[in-house]
Amino acid sequence: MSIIEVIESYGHKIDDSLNAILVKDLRQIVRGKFLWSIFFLYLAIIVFILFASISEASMNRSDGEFISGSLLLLLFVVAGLLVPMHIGKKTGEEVNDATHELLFITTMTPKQIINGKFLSGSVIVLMLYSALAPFLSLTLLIGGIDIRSLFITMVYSYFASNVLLLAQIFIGFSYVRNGKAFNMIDKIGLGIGHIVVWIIACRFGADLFDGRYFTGSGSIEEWGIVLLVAIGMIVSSFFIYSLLVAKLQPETSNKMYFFRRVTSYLWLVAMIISCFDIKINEATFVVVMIFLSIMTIPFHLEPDTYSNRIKEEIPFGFFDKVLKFPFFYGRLNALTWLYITAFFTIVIGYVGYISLSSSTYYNSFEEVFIKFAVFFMNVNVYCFIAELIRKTFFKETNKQSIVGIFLVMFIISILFSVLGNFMPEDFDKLIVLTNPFGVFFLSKRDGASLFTLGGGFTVFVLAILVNITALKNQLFSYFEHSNEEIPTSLNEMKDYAESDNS
Amino acid sequence: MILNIKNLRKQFPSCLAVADLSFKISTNEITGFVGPNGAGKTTTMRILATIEQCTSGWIDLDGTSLLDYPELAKKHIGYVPDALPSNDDMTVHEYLDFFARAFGLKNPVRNKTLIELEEFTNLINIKNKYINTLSKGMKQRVSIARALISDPDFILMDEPAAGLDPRARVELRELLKVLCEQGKGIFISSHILTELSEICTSTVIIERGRLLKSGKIDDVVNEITLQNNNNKRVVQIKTLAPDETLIKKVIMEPMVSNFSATSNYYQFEYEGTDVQASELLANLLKDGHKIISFGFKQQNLESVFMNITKGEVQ
Repeated sequence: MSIIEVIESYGHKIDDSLNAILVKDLRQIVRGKFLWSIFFLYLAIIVFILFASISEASMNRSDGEFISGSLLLLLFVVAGLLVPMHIGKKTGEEVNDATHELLFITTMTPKQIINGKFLSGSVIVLMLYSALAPFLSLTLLIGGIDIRSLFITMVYSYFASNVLLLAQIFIGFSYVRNGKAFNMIDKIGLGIGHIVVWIIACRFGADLFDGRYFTGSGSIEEWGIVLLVAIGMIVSSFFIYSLLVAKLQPETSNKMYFFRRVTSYLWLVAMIISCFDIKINEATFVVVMIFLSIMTIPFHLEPDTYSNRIKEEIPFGFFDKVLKFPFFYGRLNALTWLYITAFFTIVIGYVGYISLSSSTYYNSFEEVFIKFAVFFMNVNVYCFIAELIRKTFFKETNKQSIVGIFLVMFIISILFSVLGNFMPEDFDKLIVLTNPFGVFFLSKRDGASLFTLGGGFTVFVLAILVNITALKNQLFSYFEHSNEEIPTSLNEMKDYAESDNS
Repeated sequence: MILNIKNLRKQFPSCLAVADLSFKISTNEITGFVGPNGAGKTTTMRILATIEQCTSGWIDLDGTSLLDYPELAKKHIGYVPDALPSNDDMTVHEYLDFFARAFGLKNPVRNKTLIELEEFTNLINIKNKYINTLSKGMKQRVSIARALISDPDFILMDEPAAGLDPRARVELRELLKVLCEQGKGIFISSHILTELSEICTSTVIIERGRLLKSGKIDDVVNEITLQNNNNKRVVQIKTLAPDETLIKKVIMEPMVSNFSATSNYYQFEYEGTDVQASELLANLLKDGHKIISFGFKQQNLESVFMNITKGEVQ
């Protein structure tokens, strides 16, 4: 085999392994007017900024910082705003023309579809970053910024651009018909993801422009903010990505599997962060509580029964079953996972209590424990109420219930916030008995700790008892499933149903 | 292979689009899917293509459920939607190449498949043209070529002839006949019933999401004709010249009614069976009548459709 043939065979292999949507979208984007008009405009503005800055009579070391900040901000506007909007618009057009539906009847998986869309945009963004690199290197010569800070900032903003890209793809796909309920989830997911990302982006842009990251010494100084924003971006992007994958999954599949996995990890991360943040800011608990409550909403979309397809996906081995249970079908799994994570959090909380024992803010284990317990209970109670509403008012369609769940949670949280803040004395008992979060506020008062602890535990036990009854059936159905041969024909199905009934 | 649909139902929030629809589609057959606008044809096709979920019912392919294993549809069912491809900045070859990649075809199989398809669908000369510059007929061919990439056993076509000029329609018809000869099952919805009756061997007629009739076209037509005329069929006779004695003789027959004559053409309603009709013909010939043609008036799909549907939508 000649060297040309070897190279050719490798070329074919690489070509075959490329994502079909990546190839198609890049072909279309490169041929379209958008890319080139944006690219030349972008280069023209870069040159203008450089000339305008260099032509200033007095040039000093801090100018390098200002110029690089301006260039990065421009880059972020183009790569983080215009390119994602274009990709999102193209995706939306495909959804409107229903051409995306043709993808669903190919062998491409939802992940491949999203990855293809995402990668095509990401490649364009990378191209814009590469085009800026020579100009940024000029600012190094001027001074006022070090190469490490510049590199980190570029990586950081590239990542932020990709998160925004993902959010725009989400917008594009949000019109995929999935029933009104899932569209509601779209809006919630989209709203949260997008708002978080845009706050991050604006904060990042403003800080960058103010020279906050490069103050004087030319190096990043506020690492805390940088890390927090980075974590926020990771959480947002995983949230959006996994919701997208769930949305594009066929209804008969374990639709929420990937979303459940991702949110499970996010729950853990959120809880761990809140544990370590305990001495800094108690508002973290409020944020995490809202975050976790919202995270459970999509799980309520799932029907109670396993489809034949999902029955086949249930693992064989006992340990495999135990490990994978939180990721399997049935909305109560969301609560199960909460139980597990809450237990985990309480353990960490105890460790946190020991390390915080010198702190003057928390002077007893009881304080720490109550905080974690009420936090867990609050989510649990909301889920329980939501489930009750679903079963009472939305018997026919599982999906419709999501609107009710959202409204109930929203109304209850506002109600309790108002009552808890303005009329604590009059509604003490009511708040304690119905809203575990109120326990936390009350527990801080002198002499109220014993009462609130009792009230909190009452709610805790009630919630657990009610949920555990429903959960029991699900656990049995899951663990007793023995992967027997699943009927595939109509006659077999009838026999199967008859044998089941008998 | 048989695609079996049983009690298919699709409930949208505002209406019941498909109501307990049951029928079968076989390979080696072209089945026409007929119904007024809003009858639920597109919804049914989308469910069969596994794009849409049904509310209840059963679909199986030779006994294996498509609802539980929608990936089977990806292998065995090709879908040509009513919307034509509209991708900007993309040539015909690139469009087909994209879907070949999406179906996981690797080279050299991918290239070979594309060349064969482009030749088969007569796209070879326009493969480097941009899709948005093509005529409707050519776009329809591209759409069919796309559906054939995975070499499916069934092809579902939603209004493929809509908006096509007469030449493009004839070409499409020929293409469908060839596909059927290759052993594929074609399920085609169309409003152009005369064309459907020319190419289809079976039909499924629905209205308001409910099945009205299904089966072989000839059987359906005969059944509906008999039903509508109280088991009477119309016989038409043409003689060499006007024949008074033939009129007298036929009128005297017991199973004849509503006789009419125009010059050497005669028409009447006949209650007898095929055997009795052949005996009547034999008697007339024996008596020396110069008969050029004798036969039952054929109802076509269009008249059957008009007879059994009421034009109601959901």
